[in-house]
Amino acid sequence: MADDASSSGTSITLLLSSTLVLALGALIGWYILSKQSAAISQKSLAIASGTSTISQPKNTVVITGPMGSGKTSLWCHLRFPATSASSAAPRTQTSMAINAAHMDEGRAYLVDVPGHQKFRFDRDTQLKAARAVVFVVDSVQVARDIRATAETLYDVLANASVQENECPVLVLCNKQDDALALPNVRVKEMLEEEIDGLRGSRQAGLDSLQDTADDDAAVEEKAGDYLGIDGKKFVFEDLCHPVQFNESSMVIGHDAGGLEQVEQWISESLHT
Amino acid sequence: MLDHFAIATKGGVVLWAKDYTDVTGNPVNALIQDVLIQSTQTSSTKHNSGSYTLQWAFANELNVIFVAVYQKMLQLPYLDDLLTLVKRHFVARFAAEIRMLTDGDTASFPSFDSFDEEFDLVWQAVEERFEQMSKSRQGVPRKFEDTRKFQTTARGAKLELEELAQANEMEISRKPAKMRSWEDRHGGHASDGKKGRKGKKGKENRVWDGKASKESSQALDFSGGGSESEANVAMLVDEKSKGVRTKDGVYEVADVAERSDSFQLLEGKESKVSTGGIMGMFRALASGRVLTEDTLAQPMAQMRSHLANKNVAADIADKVCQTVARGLLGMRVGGLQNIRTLIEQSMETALTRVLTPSSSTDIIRDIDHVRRQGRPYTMAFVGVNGVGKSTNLSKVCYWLLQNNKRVLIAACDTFRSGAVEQLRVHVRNLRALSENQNVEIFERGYGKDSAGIARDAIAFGASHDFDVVLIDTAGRMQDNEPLMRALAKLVSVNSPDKILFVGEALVGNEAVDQLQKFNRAISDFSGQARPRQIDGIILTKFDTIDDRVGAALSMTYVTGQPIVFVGTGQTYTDLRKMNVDHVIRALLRP
Repeated sequence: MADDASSSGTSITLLLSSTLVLALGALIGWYILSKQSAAISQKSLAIASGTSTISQPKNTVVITGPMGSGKTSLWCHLRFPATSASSAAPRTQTSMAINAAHMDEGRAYLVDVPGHQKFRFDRDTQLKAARAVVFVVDSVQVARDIRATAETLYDVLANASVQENECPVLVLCNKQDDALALPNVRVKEMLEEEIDGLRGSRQAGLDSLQDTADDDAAVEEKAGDYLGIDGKKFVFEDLCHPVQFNESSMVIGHDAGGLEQVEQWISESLHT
Repeated sequence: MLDHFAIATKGGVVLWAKDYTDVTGNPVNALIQDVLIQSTQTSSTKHNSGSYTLQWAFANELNVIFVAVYQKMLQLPYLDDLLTLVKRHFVARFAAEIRMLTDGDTASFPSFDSFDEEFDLVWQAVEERFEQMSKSRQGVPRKFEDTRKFQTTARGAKLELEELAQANEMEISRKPAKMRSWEDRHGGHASDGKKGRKGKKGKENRVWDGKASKESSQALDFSGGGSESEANVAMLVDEKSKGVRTKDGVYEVADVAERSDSFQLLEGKESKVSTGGIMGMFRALASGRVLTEDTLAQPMAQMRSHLANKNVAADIADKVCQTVARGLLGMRVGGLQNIRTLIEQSMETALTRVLTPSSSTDIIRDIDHVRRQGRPYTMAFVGVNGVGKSTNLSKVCYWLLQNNKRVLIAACDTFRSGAVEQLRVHVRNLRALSENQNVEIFERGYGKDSAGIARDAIAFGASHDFDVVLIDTAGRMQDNEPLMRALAKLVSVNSPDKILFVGEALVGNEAVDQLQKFNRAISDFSGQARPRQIDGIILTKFDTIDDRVGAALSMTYVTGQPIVFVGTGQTYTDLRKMNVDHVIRALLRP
């Protein structure tokens, strides 16, 4: 009798332990599968929404600027230094999605945002995680497009995250190989003039929808919109984060084209 | 023939391109900027730009776009096939390299030049296949006897009856065979069968006595005979891998590098994973399933009805859902994840793109820019009856006064009773509210021509140093032709700097109709070579809708122009700027 009881007891414990093990195994399997499927969906989600596949790393550098200024070329040069040193980088056309990849040896995470106006929101989202910003300008077209260029630069400089993190900004006057390209001092003057006029009209703008709920936040945001010092003509030196102007050209090779300085600037900005 | 073919990533890096001739301008860039980024593309994949036509295809899972450029006057019917096959070949060959561009670690850009040959071969193959198909389709024209018309003539009908009769006879003759009685069948068969069986049973044993009859000796001759005397030539030599015979008659062996013999077009669909039972389920769970039209159909239908519930016009909701679905075809989704999250995310991206303005909406800046040219900035408010033109005009005027602009209001609504008096009251209030009373009204009473009044008002504004002239027009239905002509005349005579369409947020499917007809009328009836279009939208009565903000999406989608102002109430301060985030969140909230 006792043997029967104990044997039934052991069989019960055996049954219990085996079901426990099975349950544990199923749970682990389910967990692994769900992680894997989440990863796959995350990748598709990222491609569908046009953002990067990895969550933003700490050393993000955002490359932005008006359309056709050479952002994707710069991204290619920095991402593939071996090709850029030996020959010209690949041809580019108008981007319709974000390019994001690690620079060699993981020095920086480069994000190239398309310049088309429709990508304004993507640019603002990417700027939230940026540690440095490269603003590429077409030195030949800048005179004709000065209003649009100045507006884009204003949006970048007035962005809340850029101001909060005091991101250094490099304004790259690209296409210097063209004979009609303006020197970077001239581009700097033109931009300062335009931004001077812009800050007045920005302050005069209407409140945004849904702003009545948070009046304080709205007032703060508007105050942050104003660049430079009130009453004084706008100059880039008045900003709290360093703005540097460089010249470059993407087609005359790595060293002559000023790309060495860009890489140096990136390393310096990310380490301060 | 093709002028240009390019394969590039969506991020703008050109992987492989072939120029067959000089291409003027930059049609690929124009295509991307004007059509593909706008997210308002229809299901067609063809676009005309300048003197070129462009056709394109996407490989969504790798973010690659394939574009073919050719002269507009040509018609290349095999281009769809060519694009599909080039896509298949390129993806099959270079998928790993493409992924390496963003995810990998290499320091050198991978080369895609080896695709040159393959592209030429694919093109050749597609052309040949197309020629064969068209030959087999055309061939000799049908005989008259084969057409349907012949069957309706008397001769044709007779022939048909005869054929039917023959068929029936065969049927009839078969039946009697079946209806033979059992005895007949078995009797006959029995006798036959016995004979046959006897014949079969009568198997003769072979007699090996050194004497063989002629028949048996022939039957016993197993020495190969026909199958060996004639060599099967076809099996010995592969015709395709033969060398060439030069002019001198010398036979030269084919080159080792000749690939034409081993080239096969990649046919068939993507690899069909066997969906058998439990193993199939596990495989689907582990590696994720690929989204196809069928799997997307139901979630897309749900999304469409969700958008329709939010007051988005029906065909706009349809088009947006189609665009999103097309962008998701071919993506992988993890087995345990919902497709819904993926759809919502890409829907959010697409809607943000549609609602984001592609030009600046900074009015004050534009006013300053125009003032430097020495003339006042003119804004015209147009729309149907009762949407709030006069109310919102006075709100805009109040805002401009706060920014120290001198404003002149032109009362060009000469039709509705009390319209001019209404504006007089507004001006009186605004003068009381503002410090330097920089607002005045310009009116000429009722019944006069509004285009003339507007012209006089602008002249008055210029001579009296006004910064802005706001033109209030009468409300008119979009189908009313004489009134639309009058509006087009006002626009073409005075060419205002901004034509603002005032639409109320309560409108549903009507919004699409209103905007389309207004746009068409202003451009058709203007008589100009480069007619104006609506430049911006004012969305009024926004406080009366809570979540159902679909009208904003419909209006922006139809015109492509941004929403410049939003009216959120009936007092002078109830004017806001458009906030895209807020509208998107309200649209996608369940």
